[in-house]
Amino acid sequence: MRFCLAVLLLWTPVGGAAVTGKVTWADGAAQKRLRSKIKYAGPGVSGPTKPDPSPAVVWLEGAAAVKMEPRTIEVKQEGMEFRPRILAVPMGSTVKFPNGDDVFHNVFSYSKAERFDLGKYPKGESKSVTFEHKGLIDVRCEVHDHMRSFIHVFDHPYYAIAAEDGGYTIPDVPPGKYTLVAWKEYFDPVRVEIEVKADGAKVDLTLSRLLDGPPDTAVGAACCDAR
Amino acid sequence: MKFRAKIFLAILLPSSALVGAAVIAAISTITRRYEELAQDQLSRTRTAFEGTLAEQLDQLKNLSKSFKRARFDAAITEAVLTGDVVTLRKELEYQFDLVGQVPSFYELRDGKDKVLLRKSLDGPGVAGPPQKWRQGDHALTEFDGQPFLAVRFEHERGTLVIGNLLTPTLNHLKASFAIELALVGASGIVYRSKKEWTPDAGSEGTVFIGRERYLAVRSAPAYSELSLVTFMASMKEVDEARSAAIVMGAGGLIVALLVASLVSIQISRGMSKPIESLVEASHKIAAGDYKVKVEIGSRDEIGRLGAAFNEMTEGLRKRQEIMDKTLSRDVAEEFLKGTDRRPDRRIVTIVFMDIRGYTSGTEGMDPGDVVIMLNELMDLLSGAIVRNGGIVNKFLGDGLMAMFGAPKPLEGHALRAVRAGLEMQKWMARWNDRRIARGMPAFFSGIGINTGIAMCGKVGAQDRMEYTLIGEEVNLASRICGKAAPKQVLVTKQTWDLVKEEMKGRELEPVNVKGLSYPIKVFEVTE
Repeated sequence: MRFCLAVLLLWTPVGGAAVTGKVTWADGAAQKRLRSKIKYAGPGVSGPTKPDPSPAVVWLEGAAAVKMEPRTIEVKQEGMEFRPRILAVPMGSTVKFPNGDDVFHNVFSYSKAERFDLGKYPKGESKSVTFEHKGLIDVRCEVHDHMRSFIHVFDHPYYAIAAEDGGYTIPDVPPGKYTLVAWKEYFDPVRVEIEVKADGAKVDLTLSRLLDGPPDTAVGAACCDAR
Repeated sequence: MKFRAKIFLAILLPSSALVGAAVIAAISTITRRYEELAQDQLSRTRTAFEGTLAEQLDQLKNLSKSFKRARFDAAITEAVLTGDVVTLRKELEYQFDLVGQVPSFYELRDGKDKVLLRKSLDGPGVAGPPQKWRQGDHALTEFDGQPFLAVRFEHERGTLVIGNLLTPTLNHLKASFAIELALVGASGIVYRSKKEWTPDAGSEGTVFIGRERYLAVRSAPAYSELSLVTFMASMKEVDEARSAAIVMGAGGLIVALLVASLVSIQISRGMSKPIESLVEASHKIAAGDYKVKVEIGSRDEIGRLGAAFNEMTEGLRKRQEIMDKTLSRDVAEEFLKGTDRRPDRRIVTIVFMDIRGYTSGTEGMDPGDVVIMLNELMDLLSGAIVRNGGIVNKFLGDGLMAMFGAPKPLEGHALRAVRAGLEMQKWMARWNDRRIARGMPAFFSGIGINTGIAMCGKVGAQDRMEYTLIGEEVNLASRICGKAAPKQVLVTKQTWDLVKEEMKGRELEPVNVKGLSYPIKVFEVTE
């Protein structure tokens, strides 16, 4: 939540209009599925064991690339989870993966946008990855099957991580026609054609269809489409 | 049936029955034992087969367990999403490396049944038949016409099938258990260890391939997609053993036959030969040969019979000797013809001999010495008669009566009788010479011979009779003898007429004889 606010603060409108709205979903089913994925509760667990929230991500598909300042962000492994679970960064950003658990973790991804394998390392150590390509990276731990983190890498600034209630704001969008995408783990992503006028746009999206498989089908699809 | 044949059968039948029973028992034992062994072999092969399958399934399932891990999940996700299978192939090979087992076949399809990755026997990516089975997560099935043991790993994004080619395993089973096996799927035979074998649904129990017999059993694991999995044990050995037993049995029967033949020949030689020699001896005895003796060396009943037979023969021989002494052979034969007392009328020559001066000559002699002397003399005289073909009919104290031409007709009976008479006188003369030389008194005899018709026949009571001649001619011979001087041989005219061509002699004065009213012409024969 804090991170969401930070993003919003960083991209205070300076020109153009904001695209705002709310993403809604059948919360119960998704949460249930998320919980069922969490299997590990054995020794080595310290701190909170409840996974971080899995908020929706909203972006404009097909927006022109914009050169952005890379950032350095941390995704901790703590309580047998990646925290935060959902991340959105500009292209070229570096993500650190410190291990805060008493066990080894092995962070890796086979996603085409960034294929990496950091190997096993113990508590206190950290390794990092710089994401040079746009797309959705499905981050996993080789040791703990249930651990997941999704990192959205964008080559433009027109994206937002929705609040817990689904509200979102994409600021400073130049007027024009766009495709607005709403993504959320476990759901089929939704695409809507929008027109952003001088005073912006207000678009509400509903993720109605749960994936008939793991959440990352949508991730991949969105990722590839986004590229 | 001959005795020998009976013994032969008595030995052959039970021994053949014994041999036959032994052979049948041996054959059934051999057959049962071998078939038990074959069944055991088959069931062990089946157990090994199913065990090997279970083991391989475990390995495959262990492999598929690793596919639930994050890496594989990530790789398959990537492959399905992007169509890029490089990572997935690497990941699969990595996993196979980890478990140390590279399956001979694997295939990945996405949710829409599109083949993303395939390694078949022909190499990865070659299109092949679709996955055949839809039930369960593992199966004994076929790909590309080959037998496979396969597991299916259902992923949220697709399906991975991993299969192990079973041909090496099956070859190994065949080699280890010396058993034939065949697997048949929907597309036909996927494996067979024997080329000539065309297994079908009926391949169970006894199966013939060419002329060789096999025992077949089927295996039907619950997860089998194949229409037939069958094992076959060759029954060649049992069939050979059975043939050998039959040959041995036949050999045994032949041996039994030989033994029976030899033993029966041996036994019958010990029984029927003595019996045959007894029969032969009996025939000889019936023919009058009492000198026959049977030679039986054995000490058994047959031997005792032989000894008894010899005793009997000896008894008979002694009796015969007595008979011979008291009865001439021809007379005896006449008696053997029967006891019909009707007389025969025939022409005979009768010889009478009488010792002259006997009574006075033996006076003062010991009666025992007289008998010895008479016997000695009678031996000589009767010898002369017999040699000339006559028969001494009776001894008459100091004389004898002989007949020529009775009971059997005799050619030249008159001449023979006359010669006998002359010989008798000659013997007598020599005998007297010896007596005189020893200082003993001499005796002389007169001999009368007549030829004519006489009644010949058995005379006497029913239980005791003798053969004799009756008639006037007999009486005449006796009378003539009475007229003969010592050393003289007198013959009647009838006799002389018959011998005068051969003999020398002279006519004497006719003589009157008792009972005849006219004088009789007599001739003295000199040589």
